[in-house]
Amino acid sequence: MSTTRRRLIQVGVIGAVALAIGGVGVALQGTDIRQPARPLLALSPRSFSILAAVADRLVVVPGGPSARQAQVAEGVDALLATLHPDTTVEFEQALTLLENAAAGLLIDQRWTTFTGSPPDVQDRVLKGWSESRFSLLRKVFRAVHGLCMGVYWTQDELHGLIGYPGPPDLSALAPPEPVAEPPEPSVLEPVTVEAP
Amino acid sequence: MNRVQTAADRTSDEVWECDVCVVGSGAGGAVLAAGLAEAGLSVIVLEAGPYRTRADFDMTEKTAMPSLYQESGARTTSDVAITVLQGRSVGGSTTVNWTSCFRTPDRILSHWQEHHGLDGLSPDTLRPHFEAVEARLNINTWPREAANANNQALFRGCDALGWESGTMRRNVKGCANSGYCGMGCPVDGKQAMHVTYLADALAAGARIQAEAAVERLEVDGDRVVAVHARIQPLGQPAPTGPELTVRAKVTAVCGGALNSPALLLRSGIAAASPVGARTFIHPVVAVMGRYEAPTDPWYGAPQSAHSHQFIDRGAGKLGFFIEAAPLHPALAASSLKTFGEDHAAFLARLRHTTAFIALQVDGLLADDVGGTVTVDATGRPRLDYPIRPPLLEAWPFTHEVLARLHLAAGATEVVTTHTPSVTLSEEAHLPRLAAAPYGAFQHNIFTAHQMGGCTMGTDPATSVVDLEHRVHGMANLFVVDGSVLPTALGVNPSETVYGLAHRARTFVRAAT
Repeated sequence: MSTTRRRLIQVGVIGAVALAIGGVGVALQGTDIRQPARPLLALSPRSFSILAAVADRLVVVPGGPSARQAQVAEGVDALLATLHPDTTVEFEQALTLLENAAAGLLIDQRWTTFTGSPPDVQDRVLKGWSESRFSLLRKVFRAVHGLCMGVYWTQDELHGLIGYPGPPDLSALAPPEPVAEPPEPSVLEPVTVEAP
Repeated sequence: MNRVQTAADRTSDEVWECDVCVVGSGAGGAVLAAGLAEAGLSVIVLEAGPYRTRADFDMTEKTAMPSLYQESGARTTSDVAITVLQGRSVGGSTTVNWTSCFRTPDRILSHWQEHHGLDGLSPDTLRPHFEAVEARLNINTWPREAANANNQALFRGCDALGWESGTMRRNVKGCANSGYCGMGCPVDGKQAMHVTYLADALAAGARIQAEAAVERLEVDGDRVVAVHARIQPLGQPAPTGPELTVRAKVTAVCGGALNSPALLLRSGIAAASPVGARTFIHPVVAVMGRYEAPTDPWYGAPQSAHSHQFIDRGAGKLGFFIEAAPLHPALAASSLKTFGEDHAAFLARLRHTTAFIALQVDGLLADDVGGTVTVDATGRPRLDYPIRPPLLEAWPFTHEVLARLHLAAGATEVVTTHTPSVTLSEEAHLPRLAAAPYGAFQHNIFTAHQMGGCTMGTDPATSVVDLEHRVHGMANLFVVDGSVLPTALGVNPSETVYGLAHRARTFVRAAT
């Protein structure tokens, strides 16, 4: 594995073993390929399919569109296309680790790829990674989670579900006027510290 | 009148000449460029980000993140443990900041004098510069009674606990109090650089080129003889457009605390100095509170209250200050690391949620050297920021303080950003926080304040620029931005950068 700026897969021994096994696992077991809603800009079809499967489980909003309907994976792909190509390489490495069955056997006690697992197993895997004692796995979870949630919840049509009004009518706001006061002399003077 | 030029204006390679080339148009570059242009110098400002104005600010995260933030808001430390929020457009971070303004605290200036030899920076010498920028940017106190629900909760909690709190000063004029500062101000109420000092610079004849990524400085002996930039239109992952070469009598690097040291490193400048070292970030953790009454945490001036109750925690310990933070859907959704229906349930109560943040003051402890900026094989900045024992010591206490503050303010439930979240609803539950894990990937950590990397000092072995912002050993190269700060500040840094840039005008002008 190359050393790059944003090493999503920055590993210790456990990670190195997982990656090595993972490479074999991916070679031996195929990913359930999902067709994107539009041509991919950054991700490979395999990485897209893994991401789409993860997004399906991360984003479950009663009354809201599914991740597939909201095209979360397509949105992450579009975002990655604007970033340095190294970022996509590292993101795909993380998805590969999550997908592969051999690493899954080592880490999650599962025999199947992530995309080939039923939803309850996928949820167990994601929860396990999010709380893992291995920082590598928590790191992968957080990276994928942040991008998927960020893409999903930027969609205007979802905002009504959570009472978010979106951009306000600026003309209806009645702003106060700031008050001209001298600055505080110093906010860094020592203060008495009280234990909470 | 001049206008800001964009990628569309550049169709072929060009060579320009001027008195001063300013690299970066944020809090440092804008204030500097305006003063120099008004003094009659020919000034060219190169900005890597796009030119966006109120007509473009549609108050959505979907538009703002890719167009106004470094790496579409996805910039992180090299290990991905810390999210780095940093602006990237004409106006720099001032386009997206939350308008919180403080003069450099007296105690920090004393610390710099005692430990870093910055004898030229004192409350008295800086006062005229702060007064000047406060007048231009309309920096005034936001009335306590106008505080939004998030900030009222902070005031209320501090009052109940007997903790110190204060009102915030903001650089606004005709603020609509909408709460969308982080997505660009749609009414130009925020006195960001693109509506103030950059407008002044244009009026005085300066030339501003957006979407021009500076790749390197060409050096001959102790002089920069050319600035080499390449056009990078918004949305392109790398600069591949026409080349722009600027030959200037003087160059001022004002790209901010990650980009400025990276440019010096790419250019092989100041190799004998610690370029990139001592980078500080006010590491931030957040704790959320849920309240019975709606808080609508997206509404109103994002920050109008602060508490410095725990700024000094005693010898060997990191202090911190407390502020409120707005919550818009994508930011909130990516902050809480649950998933599935649990996560959706959290979002469903967003309008009853308030976030308090604690910003640790790094760089003041004797052995706290902060992070380090280097460049990767492609020349991009890389920030390594190890999480050291003082932070690990501080965070349990910090979380406890923020939780107590919420409970004292009336929160019915307190939720951390751990995975899984730690939740509590009364003070008897506080020991849960002491038992929680802390550190990288255990909970959210982010930074919106980047400082240092080209630190100011008298010794080239321990600093990069002298007290007049000139790079040690270089005759015509200056650094004028937050990267010169030798420590973190313990307050939001924008006004310190405005003031220092105002002071630096004299030194840069004298070098032309």
